[in-house]
Amino acid sequence: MPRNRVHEAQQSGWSSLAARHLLARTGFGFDLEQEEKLAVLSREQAVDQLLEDAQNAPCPTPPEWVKTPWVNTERRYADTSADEFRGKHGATNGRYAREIADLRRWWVNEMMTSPVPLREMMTLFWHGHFASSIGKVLISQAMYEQNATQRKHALGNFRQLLKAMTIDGAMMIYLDLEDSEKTQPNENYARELFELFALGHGHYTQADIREAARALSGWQLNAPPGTALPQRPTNPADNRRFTRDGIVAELVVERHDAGTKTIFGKTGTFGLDEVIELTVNHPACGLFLAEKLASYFGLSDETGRVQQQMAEVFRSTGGEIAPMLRVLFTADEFYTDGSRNRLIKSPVVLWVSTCRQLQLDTTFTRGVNKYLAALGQELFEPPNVKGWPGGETWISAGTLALRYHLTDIVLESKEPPGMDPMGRDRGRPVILPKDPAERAKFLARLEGGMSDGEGMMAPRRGEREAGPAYDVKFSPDKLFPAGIPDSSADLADQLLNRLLVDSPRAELRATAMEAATRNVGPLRVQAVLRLILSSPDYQLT
Amino acid sequence: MAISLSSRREFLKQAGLLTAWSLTLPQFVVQSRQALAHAPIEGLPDDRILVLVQLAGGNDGLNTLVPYGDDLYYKARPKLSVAPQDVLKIDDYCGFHSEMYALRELWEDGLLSLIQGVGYPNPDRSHFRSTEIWETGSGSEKNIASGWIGRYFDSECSKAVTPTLGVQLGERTAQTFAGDHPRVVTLSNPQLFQFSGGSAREDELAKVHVPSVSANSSLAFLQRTGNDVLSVSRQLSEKVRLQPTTRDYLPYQFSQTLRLVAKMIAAEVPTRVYYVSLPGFDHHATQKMRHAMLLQELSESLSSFVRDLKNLGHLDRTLVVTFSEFGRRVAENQSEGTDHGTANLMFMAGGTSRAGFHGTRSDLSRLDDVGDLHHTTDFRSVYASILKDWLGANPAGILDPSILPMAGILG
Repeated sequence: MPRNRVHEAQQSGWSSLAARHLLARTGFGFDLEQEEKLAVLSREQAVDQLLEDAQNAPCPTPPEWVKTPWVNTERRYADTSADEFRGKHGATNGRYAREIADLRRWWVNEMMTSPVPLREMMTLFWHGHFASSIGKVLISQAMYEQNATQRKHALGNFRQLLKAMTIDGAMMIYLDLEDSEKTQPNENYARELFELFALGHGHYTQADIREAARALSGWQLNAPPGTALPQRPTNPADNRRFTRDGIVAELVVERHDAGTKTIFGKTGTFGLDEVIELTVNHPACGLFLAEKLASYFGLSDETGRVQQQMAEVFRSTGGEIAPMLRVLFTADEFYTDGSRNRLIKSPVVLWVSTCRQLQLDTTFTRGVNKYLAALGQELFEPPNVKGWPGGETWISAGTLALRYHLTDIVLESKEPPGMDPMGRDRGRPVILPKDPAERAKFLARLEGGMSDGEGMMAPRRGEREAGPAYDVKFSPDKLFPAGIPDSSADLADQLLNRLLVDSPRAELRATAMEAATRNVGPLRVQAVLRLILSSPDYQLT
Repeated sequence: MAISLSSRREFLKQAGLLTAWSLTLPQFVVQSRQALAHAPIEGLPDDRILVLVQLAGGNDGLNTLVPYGDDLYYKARPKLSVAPQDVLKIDDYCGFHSEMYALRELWEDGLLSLIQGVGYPNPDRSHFRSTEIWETGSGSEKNIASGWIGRYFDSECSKAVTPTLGVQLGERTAQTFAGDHPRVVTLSNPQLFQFSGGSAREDELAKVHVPSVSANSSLAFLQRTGNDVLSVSRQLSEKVRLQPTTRDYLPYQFSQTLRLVAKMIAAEVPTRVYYVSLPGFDHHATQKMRHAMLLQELSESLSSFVRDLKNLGHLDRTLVVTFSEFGRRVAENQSEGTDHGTANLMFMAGGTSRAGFHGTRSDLSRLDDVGDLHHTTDFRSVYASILKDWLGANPAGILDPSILPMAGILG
């Protein structure tokens, strides 16, 4: 790619490469057609168009298994027999596992195909910001509803989002708000509300947390009003999972502490609405959010000017998110060398952008989920309440090695090596004989000629999800409708231009040309892609 | 991935010439030059190793170390108890589960220590949350994102020169390792580090990882880590693969994973902490057979591992510690299983661990309002002892300073 395009970008602040940078950061990768379209606009016009599209697009149709209203079918009654419970419990867990797998498929496919990827990028932001894990929540429907709410408010109003998240079913389960009642207010949610969701450490006291927990006490999850419920008594000893009727938040007045509270120096008989108001109006809120957004989108601005300006817009608009993003994406600082080409792609961005940029014919499968989980980002299962810290924490020698195997999936639709553990899975429970000779016979029968030593690949136990582990088709013709270039330089340049957000380093370009020269026929494209996708450069956006 | 002689020479030449490179010079290069036996990792005070073994799902401690001398145990567990005649007796009160004969032998050989009644105040009975508490080393009232070993790496190992300071065996990195600068490699299988394509592939990978003169710090970081990938790859494919072991291991995942760890230790991979997991302990129903199977697997695997390390001459520098997020309810449930409980036992072997019983067993006649055991030892005091007495670290900078190391478990 011509070097002068970089200079052009630096001089005028807007160019094809600048448009590419904007597209890649706000979506999942870029395509050259879109890049050209945005490049002819001004920076402000381009940003406005992206923001408007993301705000106005209709929401996708939910997965088939989503139910409205949702009623807990795993509810356990005092007269439920052990057998009945065991059968139902196992079946429900199996269903939840299938549904959460399907939810991941549904969302990633949305990311891959959405004409408004910015909305999905923002949904992904909130997914990590208001982290909740299926590991604790357990109910797939609750995770879907949280995701839908985050998408609905993705570029909307933070005040509304914060309130919706506070009484979101999955969040109430995840951070124990449903267990909080006036005699023993649970502080877990109140603490994270201030520390992780809205203000950041150091902007509140333990007394503020305690008082906010009181104000938020009494919310429980229940079936939607009007739902017919069986009149069977529950066993009070059973845990919440088996006794809650639904996942709709309801204020149970008897459990709520209606007394006077003092939060951030203000006193009143506060409840949910007041806690949200006080939090969003806290002077630290706008800047906290601005810094987190700026970091997610890869702004490098040590002066903090852009973040300050975003915080001001947050205050003046009463918590609107889109205007904050407008400040960020139109700022000069967002386009400097220091901000460009140095954000490490998250595993989800790596996968989705690869699918988009190589125009892969694929769907999200359990194998891809396993790959993303191994790279450190399994959707609906963030590592903890802080979400994914991102940046350099995505990369270790292990995850980078795995990233370098990306082409196994992309070009060959096969599992990268080393993803299954050493040794065999245990099948049905068997106890091995104690006597060594008996044991040897027993194992030989069981293992049937299994070899010892390295590379012993275990046949995996049947997984809950059916279908192929990987389903990826790569067609070079899609990238080169006019035919694959004969010249190694052209081939390398075109692929580099399609895959990297910046002009390639000379070393990378030279090595890519060598890879093309070393091979013949369609293998030339594969060889160059194998190199680019396993380069440090490709990990950046 | 075998590396050709010429590219290795090239690699060393570059290593010698470039100062930026030498900052991240792979440890194996340093070691192969010095050819030291049991060389400590550069930047660490000694060559000691910690192996953490997680029993995921909540192991039933009462059916692991069975209080067969206590009627209350048999009253609480009419169906699930281990009969007195089957218990592998240690003393008049308790003994191992009948399938744990391998660990009993280890015990008899003075190679095993048992810490009883381990838990924490205000126990949480959620797997997720209680695991988080154990992994972060926090109290149950606090959410901390960093892990206790992650904080140890950050505060005490900042000068350690190795990309494999921590090694997680498995599919995802445990929160135990989470920190500001995690230097952890997570692998299920060393094949992760095999790159097909022969020497041409190796050469091209090496080329794009030659540190570039660039102001892009992210690119430089990725190139450094990429070189770590290449060096780990060489190490695993050469030394570790060829490293012999001395004991039979069961053909199953957990056992084979421990075998890999034994080989990595014997091959002197520069690693301070290994983390291995045995899942499947969450037996709410029909527990008896499945728990017996897991205990057998645990017992045989740990025993093979400990004896292998002893034969290989590495047990003195390797401390093995097991933990589980909680024990089980004392009374069995209606489904011939047990529900989530509280206090539990930990096993320790190797290093300077002192064989025998430690801590105080929880009293079966004094249960909490749910019917669970009260803990007698805070798990964080065990951590504090490991940090102080084994790793030579200051626990006050890593755990809540009010937590004092448990005395007497490590010599």
